Amino acid sequence: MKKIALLLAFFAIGLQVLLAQTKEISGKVTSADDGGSIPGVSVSVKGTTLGTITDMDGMFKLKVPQDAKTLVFSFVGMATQEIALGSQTVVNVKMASELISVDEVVVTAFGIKRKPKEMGVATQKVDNQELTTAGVSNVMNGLSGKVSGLQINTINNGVKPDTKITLRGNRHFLASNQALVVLDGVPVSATYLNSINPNDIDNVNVLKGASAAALYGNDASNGVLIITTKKGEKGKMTIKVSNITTFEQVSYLPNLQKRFGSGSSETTSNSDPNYTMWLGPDRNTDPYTSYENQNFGPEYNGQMVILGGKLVDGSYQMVPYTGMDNKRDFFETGVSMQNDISISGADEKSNFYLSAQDVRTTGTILDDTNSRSSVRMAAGKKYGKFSADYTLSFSQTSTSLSGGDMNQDRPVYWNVLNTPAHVAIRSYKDIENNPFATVDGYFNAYYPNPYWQIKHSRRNEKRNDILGSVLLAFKPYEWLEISNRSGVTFNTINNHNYKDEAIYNSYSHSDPWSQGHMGVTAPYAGNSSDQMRQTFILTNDLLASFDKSFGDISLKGVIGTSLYSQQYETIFDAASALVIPGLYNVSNRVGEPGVSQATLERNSLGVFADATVGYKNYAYLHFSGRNDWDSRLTQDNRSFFYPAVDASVIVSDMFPSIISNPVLSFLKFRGGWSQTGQIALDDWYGTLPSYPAAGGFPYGGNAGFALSTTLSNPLLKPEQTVEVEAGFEMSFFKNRIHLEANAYKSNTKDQTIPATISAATGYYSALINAGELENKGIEVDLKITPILSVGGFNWNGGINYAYLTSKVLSIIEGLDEIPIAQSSYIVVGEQFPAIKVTDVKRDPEGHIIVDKNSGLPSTEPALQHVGHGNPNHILGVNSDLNYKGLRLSVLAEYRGGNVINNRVGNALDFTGISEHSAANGRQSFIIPGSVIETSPGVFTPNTTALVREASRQFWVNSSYHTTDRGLVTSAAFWKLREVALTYDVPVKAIFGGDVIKNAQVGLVGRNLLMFRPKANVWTDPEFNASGTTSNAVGYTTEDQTPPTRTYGFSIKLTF
Amino acid sequence: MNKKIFILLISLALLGSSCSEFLSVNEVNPNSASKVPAKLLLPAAINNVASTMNNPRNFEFVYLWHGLWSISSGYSQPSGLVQYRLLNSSYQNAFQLSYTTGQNLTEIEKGSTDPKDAGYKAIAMILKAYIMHNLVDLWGNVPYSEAFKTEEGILKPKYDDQKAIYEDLILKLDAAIKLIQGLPADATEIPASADIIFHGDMTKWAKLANTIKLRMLVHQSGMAGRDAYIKTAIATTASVGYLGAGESALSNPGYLNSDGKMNPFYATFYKADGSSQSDGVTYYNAGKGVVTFMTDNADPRLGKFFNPYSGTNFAGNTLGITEPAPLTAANTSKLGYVSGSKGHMIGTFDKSAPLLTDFESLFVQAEAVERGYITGSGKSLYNSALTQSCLYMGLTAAQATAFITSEKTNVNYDVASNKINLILMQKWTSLNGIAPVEIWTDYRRSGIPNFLTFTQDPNKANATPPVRLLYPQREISVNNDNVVAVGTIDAFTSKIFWQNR
Repeated sequence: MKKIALLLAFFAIGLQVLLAQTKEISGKVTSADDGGSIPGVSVSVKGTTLGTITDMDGMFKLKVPQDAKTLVFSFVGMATQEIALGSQTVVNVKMASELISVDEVVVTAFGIKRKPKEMGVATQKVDNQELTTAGVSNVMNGLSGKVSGLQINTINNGVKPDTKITLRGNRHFLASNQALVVLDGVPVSATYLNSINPNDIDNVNVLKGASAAALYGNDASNGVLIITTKKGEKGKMTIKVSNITTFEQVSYLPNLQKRFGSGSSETTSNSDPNYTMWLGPDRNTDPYTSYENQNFGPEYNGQMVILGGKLVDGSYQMVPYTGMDNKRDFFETGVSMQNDISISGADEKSNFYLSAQDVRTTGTILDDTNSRSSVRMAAGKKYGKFSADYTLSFSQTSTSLSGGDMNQDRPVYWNVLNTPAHVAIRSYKDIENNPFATVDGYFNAYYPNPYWQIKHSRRNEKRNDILGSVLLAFKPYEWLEISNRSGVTFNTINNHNYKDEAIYNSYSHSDPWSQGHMGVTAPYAGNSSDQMRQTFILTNDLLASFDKSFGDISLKGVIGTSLYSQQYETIFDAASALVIPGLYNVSNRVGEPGVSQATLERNSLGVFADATVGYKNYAYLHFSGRNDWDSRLTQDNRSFFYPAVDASVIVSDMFPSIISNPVLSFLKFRGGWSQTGQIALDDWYGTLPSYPAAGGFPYGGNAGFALSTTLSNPLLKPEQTVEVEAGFEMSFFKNRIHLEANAYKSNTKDQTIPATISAATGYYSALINAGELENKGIEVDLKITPILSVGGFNWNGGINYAYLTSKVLSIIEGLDEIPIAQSSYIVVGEQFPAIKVTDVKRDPEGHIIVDKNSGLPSTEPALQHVGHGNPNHILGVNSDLNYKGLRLSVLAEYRGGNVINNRVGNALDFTGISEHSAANGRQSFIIPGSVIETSPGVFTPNTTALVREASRQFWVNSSYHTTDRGLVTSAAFWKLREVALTYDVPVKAIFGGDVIKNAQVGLVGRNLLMFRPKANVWTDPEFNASGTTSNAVGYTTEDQTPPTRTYGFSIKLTF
Repeated sequence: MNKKIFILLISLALLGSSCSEFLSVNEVNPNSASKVPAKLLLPAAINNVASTMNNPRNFEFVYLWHGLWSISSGYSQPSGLVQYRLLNSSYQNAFQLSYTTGQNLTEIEKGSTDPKDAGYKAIAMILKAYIMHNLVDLWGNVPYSEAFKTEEGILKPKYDDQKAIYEDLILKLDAAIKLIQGLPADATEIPASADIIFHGDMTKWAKLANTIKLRMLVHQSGMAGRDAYIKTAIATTASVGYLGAGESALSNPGYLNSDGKMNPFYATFYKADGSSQSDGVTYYNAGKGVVTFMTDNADPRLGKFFNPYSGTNFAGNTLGITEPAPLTAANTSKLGYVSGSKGHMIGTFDKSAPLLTDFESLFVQAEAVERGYITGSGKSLYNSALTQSCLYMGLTAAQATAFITSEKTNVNYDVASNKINLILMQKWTSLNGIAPVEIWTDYRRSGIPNFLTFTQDPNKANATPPVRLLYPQREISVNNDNVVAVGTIDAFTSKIFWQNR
């Protein structure tokens, strides 16, 4: 890869040298408004990447080829100017501030290009530079915090972070809320975003509301991200090479105690006193136990103690009984190397773009790796009235992650948390040679060495994506175009998971301390499983579009058909007991293999029409309609019509007098209404009753089948989303301040609910259309571009803010609550999802009621509603500071209004490693603010009832531990999402600009800081344990490793 | 241009003609059948009933609360269990699994309208009665008349009066017996692969129905003024007889030594490769109450129900004990297991799973005789019950005989002063690990055995164990109105209707 890049670079250099016949142009750029000089203006030779920027005094000097024809002057907030080059060597330019970039077009549904001012609904474009500021290797991370109403949730970190993408919140209770992603006109799954090289993306246009997206009918209700990839630009061949290297480190750990060591009820009298002993005078704790995972032992005192047990050869470990910061020691510094090369070029008739990328990432957990290699080609050619464009891309992603342990299948993090603070965990990394790191030698009797599972339990995935599209267009008249786009996406995902056998020696197997050593149940058989999934999607869109003006009236329209066909196949096999160690194949087993197979197919057809009528370039009315036929529904229910209408009025063009207003320079009002749908059937055959093989069957020759526990429903129809929105855009002070605001309301009814129903019906759930969820929100985007020339500094900034709230209007008649996961519920009248948790009994004021003798609380049988899982406020703030090619970009994001159930805290309390479990020094204490019920309904403050044993009994067994209320906190946070400091190396001055046209070096950082409410001592509230496909946000577990920060450097060269 | 339009029209025409085919791809499910005959539904339904009843996790509380098992002192003692703090989320499995199995039985019943298929219909009715009365024994009022009626649009079935359910089930069992007695000569044969209990022997199904009926009626023996009803109900089908020695209702689909395909009781403790399930083998230990009782009786079955912790020494723990300290795991007996031995409690991967054993039937009959409900010899029924229990636990007939003829007051029928007390104490020991619901029901209706030591946890919620389970959390979430209509439920005071204590 690197060699090829070098070769191409040399080739390019040779070419450039041959062509390097240049002349120098100089000049000054001033403001047409006030005559002042403008620094930082980009000056470039049209059709090339040759260019420079003006200095502090607005002056520039640029070497241009002899045959250069046009110079382009551009600056944020000012109208771009093109100056024809003749023989002159001095070019002075006056630049005027621009009202709005009227000639820019946005790509909307089906590639329909519309001018921003025609749009009656909110859209927002993110271009490549914004997207890749912080050197992301993942598109979703690059979008976070940049578009109001767009929420990117990184629900777990790691080498291939799981992300979830929603626009304007969750409209569906259980169906997917992920936005539709359309790449160069071809719908792709949201997971495909992990496979795209962000550097290939020219821009992402975000159609926030369903209105803009309604033309996609059945898939449009969640909004659409329209991704347009790069094409070759006119001019000489350009080669870009870049490297981004970043480092990832654990940034925040839960608050942990380092005061007490291992012990948990084992008594010295019954166990070997060599391993279980009292340390120091403290008898309020449990005795020290050398092999214990829980931390309810004596206070650390520095004396030498035995750790674990004796090995067969009689050797044993002595360690100082002193708490250390061992949890942080466990985590590695992850490294990500991203190398890119792209070659592009174009002339009047044809264009091409070719790129390749290689990303290699290692994680904060040892041996976790992810690598992605991708290539992409795009080219086009025009023949008179015909044109043809195609794209073809291939990417391969390989991921390897640690799996669960051999005993309880716990994640690595759990086993790290269950390591007392006096154990130097990193010294057990060498599980082959360190006798105290082996399965038998490891000190912990109940949980294995996490390094064991890193080495012996792996989850591997290999994903291949091929995406190709062909666009043929025929333009018989200037006003008419007929085009056909065919797209094919094909991907395979192969998972290969395995776990090695773990055999304990007879000593461990004999339960040496009579305390239930995990070796007793050994051997743990090795297992392996494979899953192959393949998806093939064919799309074809045939469109006729016309664009014609009749006097003051302009008419732009599209009619078309859209075909979608998807086939999915999966095969799974598993061996639960491997025989020959290290051979991970289903044939290497005893017992029956686990096997399954499924084939799914679905087809749909749509016909649609879309028209925009304009009047005098200041009033526009747009409407669209689409009818869908979808095979997943039964014949009577499969046809649906989805209409949308929107309008915009540019008041400032209607009444030009406003323009002369020195304050307000642009004003537009807009509004829209739409109806879209979503067929929400996980099983595309869900309208039919189904009798899968019953649990355990077949038993050899005996077959048996049982009715699915989900009641099927042949009357299912799509969920319907009706969305209305209204907004305005205004610019002040000649466009230096641009403000855009929207309000919307969407109602999604006929939700497809595999409603949990009374088991007494004979089913666990029934698929029904019922319920309505209402979303309301406001989005505000503010862009400020003050023309500051103070000392050559340029600054612009922006704020995007979204307020969103939801309300469950109904579920099913007579039902006002449905559980969807751990602590997530659909509750009528509440925001979605409501978080409901177990709690201890409390008095009406919320004080914990304790027993007057034991001082302990008891469990409240009813669940408590404590908030909701999705944020109400999302605020992004960005700042961009330029000084002579030195650029500092900062992006911060706030989210708040929601709560999080930090279930990881339950694991921390269980093992006694949480900071608050040691706050009372493990002494008896009164639960702060607790009350005693002296007679029914009468509560008096508790001043006497001490928790008898404020150690293990309380933190592991009491209702305080078994209930979740104490783990719930505000999920608010501020994050410093991106910081990038880049410098455009003045290559011209150094190398003369002949070979290297541009060079940029930079320092990048992501998630450098996070601020949370004090009460949240656990983890990143953006995390979510329920996975990418579930809407049950609002809880975390030990399955999410601690949050990380990423920082590194980038080098980008253009030849 | 013209050519282009021509091509376009052709493709549109092709598209139109293949349109209906294009859109009908989801009308046949390639992954799972949309209709299945009774002979393929029945084995799964029977197996589900057996798995539900024989998964010790579903009923561990019975064993732990009634002196039969304890939790190893090496484990955190779960407070809900040890302190009698039942939650709505506790032990919901049997409720849910029973009803989904009931739906499959209802499908069989509805699909067997042809008189030739009456055998399938009768079996489905008998198994449904078995499921439903167990649900009543655990939860009292439960959905019944409106259960399994989604086709009528009922998604929230009301809760019926428990006594009325019991009475209706008795009628259903009568009807099932009648169906079997009236089977036509050309009745559909039920293959052994479908009837994984009696392999098509309908006479035994009739006896099972009659035994379930007798068991349900004996449950009500403590109710005042109920004797006349009980006797009349028994009399209508007395001629059918009951499951006798060697006629146990045992389910076996053809268990395999493969994870997910083993006897469900065994699978809780061991895996296919012979390694033990963590939190299974080492988690449950012997209970002190039963170990003491059996030791006093020199019961030869002790070494089958439990393993000696060393040599020939057996010991059990009392639940929740802290003072004096509980016996360590090394000094406590574990549940009986010897690899490959079907007689030991844990058994083998291929041991048949009991729904109703012959010795349980014999104990019930013995009690019915003692109560004057049926005629016969209480002594011979009791002795036969103990003998069958000994044989079931892998002992020899000679060992059984030696045991029943010993002079121990709690073993020998003639020596015992209170026969019913004797029958129920020995039933308690015999059903250990086999029929938890019946153990609990017997204790609740009779208070026998009367020497049990309950939990010693200082934070226990009540001195004696709960008398019923709480309605599942799921029901409270999705069928709340009907749950509320039952009235306030208290785990310690809301008794099942047949409970006279």
